[in-house]
Amino acid sequence: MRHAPPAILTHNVSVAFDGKPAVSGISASFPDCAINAIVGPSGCGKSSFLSALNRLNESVPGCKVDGNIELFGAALGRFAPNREELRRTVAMIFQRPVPFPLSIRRNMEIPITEHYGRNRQETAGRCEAALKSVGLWGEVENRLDMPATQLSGGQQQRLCLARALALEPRILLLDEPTSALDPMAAGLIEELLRELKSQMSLVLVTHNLAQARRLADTVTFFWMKDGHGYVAESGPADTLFNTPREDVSRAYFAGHIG
Amino acid sequence: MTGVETQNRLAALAIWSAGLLILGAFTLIVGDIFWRGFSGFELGFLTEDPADAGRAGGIRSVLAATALILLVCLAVTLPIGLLTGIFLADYTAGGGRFAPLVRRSLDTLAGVPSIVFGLFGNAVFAHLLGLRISILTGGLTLAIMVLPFFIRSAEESLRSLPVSFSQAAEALGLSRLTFYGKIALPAALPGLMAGLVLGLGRALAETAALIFTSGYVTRLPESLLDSGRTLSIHILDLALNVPGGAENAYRTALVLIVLLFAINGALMALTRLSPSYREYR
Repeated sequence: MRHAPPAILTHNVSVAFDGKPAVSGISASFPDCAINAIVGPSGCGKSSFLSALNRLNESVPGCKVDGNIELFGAALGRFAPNREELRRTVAMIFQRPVPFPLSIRRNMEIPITEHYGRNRQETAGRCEAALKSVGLWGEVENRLDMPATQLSGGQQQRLCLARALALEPRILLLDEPTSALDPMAAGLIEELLRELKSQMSLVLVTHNLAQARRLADTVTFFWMKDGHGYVAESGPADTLFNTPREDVSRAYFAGHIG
Repeated sequence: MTGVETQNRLAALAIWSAGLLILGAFTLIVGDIFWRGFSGFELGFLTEDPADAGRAGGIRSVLAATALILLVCLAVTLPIGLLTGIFLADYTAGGGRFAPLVRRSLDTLAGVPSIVFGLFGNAVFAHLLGLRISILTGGLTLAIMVLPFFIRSAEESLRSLPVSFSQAAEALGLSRLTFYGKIALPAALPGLMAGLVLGLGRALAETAALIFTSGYVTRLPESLLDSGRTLSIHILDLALNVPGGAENAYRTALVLIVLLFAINGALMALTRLSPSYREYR
């Protein structure tokens, strides 16, 4: 494993909106088969950095991303030849669950047929497998044609996870995926993330330090300087939580600031 | 009673009277047309062609011409309207400085009197493009008239969708075509239908733009290049130029109103059938 390249390696990445940097100089490394937490106060560009990893912010007017990003040892452009392929292999889950205003079945089918073509049997198989992998199959098996918006918040978020997992991503980006959910539903999602890390690399942006402590294998700590975010410290979760090097990390993890 | 209470009561009275006035006017107009239109109405009115300049006979050919003109209008309005609406509403389309220009042009077009559209249609479609005074010319002219309204309402209903839908679709690697075809347009259906109803209503009511473009003969049209007379023009002609045509004018008005209600109801029913409508409310 020592020689395998990290799932994500960034060098000097910056994201700017209308020329104003949100984060800059981000050099980070996220190993495969691990939960990599990004923590820090709000407004320090964690989400902007996260969306740069699958170029989701390139359609935002005025947004510019600089620097190098490598996925599994290959430059972003070589890793995925086009945007569709990149988004399929580097999936993103948002803070608020976003089920499309369609049936549960359509929510699953639309992305599957988009990427794997129209094959009734294969689509149904992928749909079932993905819903099973998030523990939703038993709950919705008999009402796949029900509007997805009628599911509870936690179920909606698991549906969104299933929708992304059906496309077999290798990296899963999560932007505070449980902050809009009640503790029970959040616990279920956390459980899922722990299971998923045997198959892929997860990057989890979270405000919730307790959650990071529960889940993270590595921690990247963002802080603000001169009006934009930067990485104050990063490393294995144990090290950061127990023996942080920087004063600002020590203060933040002790709850004195942020 | 205190002064504030008196004021409140007066205000409530004024507001209620205004509402009642509108309701009264509506009832009076529709009631009058139904009352007069129904007297002596027979089903044969729908299946016979007009005779004696419209005093006798029915409106079969007029109905046919109206339907054809509406179809031409729809066939042009729907695709162009949806595409332009998407262009204006989509933040990724990169409309940039071009989009405001389009919007301004549409707003200007929406304020142009219909007679001007009639002259334009006559000059461009009928003569320049050689389509003559025909159902095709009339339908195209109506389409240009209806488009500004339909495009703006399409834009509005697409814009009212949460941005997160578009983001989530992008995050799943869906093409924009898939996003609009399978997610956004179905979700925006109620608004799109409302826009379509308004547009079709305008088209059905139109006379000035059609006199120079689709003409006013009462013959049954045999092709899109024949001229033909719509319900509204038939009413205008009977009321204005044909002594003794008032009865059939009222009957035609009745058909027109029922047709409007029917189109309205059908489109709304169609909207309610779509799953997005139930979920999105």
